[in-house]
Amino acid sequence: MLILSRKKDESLIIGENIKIKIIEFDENRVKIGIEAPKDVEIHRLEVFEKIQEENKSAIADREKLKKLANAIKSK
Amino acid sequence: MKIKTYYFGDVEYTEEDVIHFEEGMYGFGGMKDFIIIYNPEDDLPFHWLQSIDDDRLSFIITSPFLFVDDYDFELTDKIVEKMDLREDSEVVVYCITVINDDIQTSTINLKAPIILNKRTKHGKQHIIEEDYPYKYLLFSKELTAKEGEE
Repeated sequence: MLILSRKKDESLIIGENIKIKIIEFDENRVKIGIEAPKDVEIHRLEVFEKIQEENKSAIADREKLKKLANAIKSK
Repeated sequence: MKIKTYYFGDVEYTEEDVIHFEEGMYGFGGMKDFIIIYNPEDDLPFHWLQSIDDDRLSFIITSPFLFVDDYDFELTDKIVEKMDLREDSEVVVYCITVINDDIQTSTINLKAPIILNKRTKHGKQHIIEEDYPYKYLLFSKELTAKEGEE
């Protein structure tokens, strides 16, 4: 991993069109601004990973849907 | 056209039924084309989003508005532009359901809804900024409590 040091209001550029700017920071939090083309998705990593995991555990299984149907009908 | 699906056998579909996900679903980026197989039972609001590239890949989807009255999120300019959304009426929203062995703990993912453009037949799973859980219990506590009383 490349590690760079930046000051408040300084920026980085990744490739030719992704800009990352340090907006503000305190002891344990950094606020960063990102400018990127619209086809580049930006997510908080932990949220992104959870959604991937959630999708993987969501692969449909017909038997389970039957059970769900029964549970709804019995309400 | 016909595809052989792992769970439903042969399913007939036409080119018009195909929904293209340019970026795929999170975790399954390679599968870009899906069809929706609607539940034959009218009173069950769960449908299948079936990959036409991988017969074993299907997600159970449902309308989040049936479970959360005030569910809403902003369609950002980025999404509107990317999906070429022109009218509210062409937007369809589904959420993915995770059905657990203990049915009562089944959840829907409100954090990453699936947005469809009915006109262009394009779809996208979108992680929203709004603070919704990715595991929202399908059965409200009220219903579970009621069942316990019986």
